[in-house]
Amino acid sequence: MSTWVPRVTPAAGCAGSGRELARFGDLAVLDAVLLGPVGLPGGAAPRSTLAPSPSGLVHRQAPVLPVDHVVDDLLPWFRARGLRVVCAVRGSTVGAVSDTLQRLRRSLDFATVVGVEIDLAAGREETRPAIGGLTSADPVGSWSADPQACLKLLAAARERLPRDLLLQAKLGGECPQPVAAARAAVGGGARALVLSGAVPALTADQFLVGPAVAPVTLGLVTTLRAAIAAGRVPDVPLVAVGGLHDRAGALAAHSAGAAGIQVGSGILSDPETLWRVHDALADAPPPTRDATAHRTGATTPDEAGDHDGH
Amino acid sequence: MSTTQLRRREGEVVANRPLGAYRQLSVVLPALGVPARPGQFVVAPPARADQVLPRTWWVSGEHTEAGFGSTLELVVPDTGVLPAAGEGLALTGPVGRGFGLPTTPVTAVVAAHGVAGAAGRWLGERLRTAGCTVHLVSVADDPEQHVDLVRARRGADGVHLTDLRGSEDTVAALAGSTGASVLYAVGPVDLSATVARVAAALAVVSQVTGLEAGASGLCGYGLCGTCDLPLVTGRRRGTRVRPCVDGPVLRGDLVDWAGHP
Ligand code: FES
Repeated sequence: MSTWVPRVTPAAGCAGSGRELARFGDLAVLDAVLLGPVGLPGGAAPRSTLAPSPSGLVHRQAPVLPVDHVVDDLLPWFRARGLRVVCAVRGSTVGAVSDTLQRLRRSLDFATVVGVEIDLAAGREETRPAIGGLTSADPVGSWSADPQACLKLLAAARERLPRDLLLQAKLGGECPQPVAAARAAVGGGARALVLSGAVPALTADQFLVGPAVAPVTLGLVTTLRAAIAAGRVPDVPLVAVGGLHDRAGALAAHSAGAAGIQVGSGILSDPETLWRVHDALADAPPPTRDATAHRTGATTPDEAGDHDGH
Repeated sequence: MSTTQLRRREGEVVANRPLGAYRQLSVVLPALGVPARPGQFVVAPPARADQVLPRTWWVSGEHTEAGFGSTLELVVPDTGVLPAAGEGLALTGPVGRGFGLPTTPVTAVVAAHGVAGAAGRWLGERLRTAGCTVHLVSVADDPEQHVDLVRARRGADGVHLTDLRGSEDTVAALAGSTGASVLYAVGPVDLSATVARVAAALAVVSQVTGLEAGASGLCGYGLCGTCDLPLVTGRRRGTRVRPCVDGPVLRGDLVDWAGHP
């Protein structure tokens, strides 16, 4: 069975709370709006920063949208407008991600959520016993650096979610072995892979994004497409994100095998880029040899977005 | 929050002249639905193809003529990549909430930094028209960077020059000696923090900008989150305000300025 993925969404951290983006165009024409990163409110999260670099930006990850805020304020807003939402979830432990998903799922407006994205590029923390029976959490690099950790995290996420809900795993330029991490993520229950060209820069929590990394994005899509063709990764749709700022970039990723596109820094440059890329893909020919499989028999949520009770 | 459409509109640059260390652009846009206010800004596309982020500029004047359109005055840093007179320029805005004027004539202090001095001067003129007594504080770290002091002096009851380090003392002394009942700040967040603190100490009202138009690393569209500021109060801990959407003009006493000198 093949999976439905939204064709064009904003990338995590680039849509504000949705309302800001709604000022620039009709969100209802999109297959879904990506909201996030959503997570547990942490202590003093560092401010997100953007530093211009040639053809790019060095981006320090935005603090998460606290899940309670998402449940109380944002999901009702989307639902009232009949918009479909993919929630991008970020957490540094399995517990944090599970807890976030559980709270999302308990929301009365969960029917508006048509997908969940798990950020494997995020930092992971390992809990170790420390003196006096207490535990300490130590940062141990990104989730995507450890395929076993990816598998565990995705399996835990899968367990928290309705069986037919889209679950996608996002990994990218920080990942030492994308094929191994992707295989593990799909093994854990991911039904789509989001491939990000964002590459680590300056410090652990900063990434280079923008048109400068578009070749990295295309490289990842090509690599994963080849791995799928060779049977090394189960056949799931790919979503490309990173430096796809225009029609040409989006179509290049599409013909490399991406069924979906996320627009990130392109939105910051000009919010209407999102709709231009959407239109470009709307009349693009099917992307790959197995594109038809992605479209026929796909588990598309029905119009009400109702996927509970399965 | 409004979900009114915010579209980029094609304008035409009708003048581009030097103004001290800066350039003054006059841009004609299709007539604005609501008059622009001091404290608002516009967003322009990136100057060059290898730049990702758009540019943000304070609006420093506006006038609308029926059947002709609205002319925006923009005083902007001289980056060498500005459109010449006669060229097109797409702009989004004026964006955001501008400064509110007091309902009764009072004494006001307006502090503005560098290029934001032009917006501060415009605010001062508006306040004077409303019957207020206005003292301008022009803050700049290099004497070259005060904007058009001749025009500023014409439009205010007093103009005082200082640098960022001296701004706290200057504003505090001036507010104290003139009995000002409202303090305004336009420019860097650090200046806003300073003025908000002075206002709190004197128990007067402050209206300050929560983001600095022209600073690098801003989108101005409300989408990146780099301009977010924490609020002092709120429904729950960690409530933030996004100045480029909810502001840029904020009440100084509502923001938690910790971390800003
Ligand atoms: S400047 Fe990007 S959100 Fe305010």
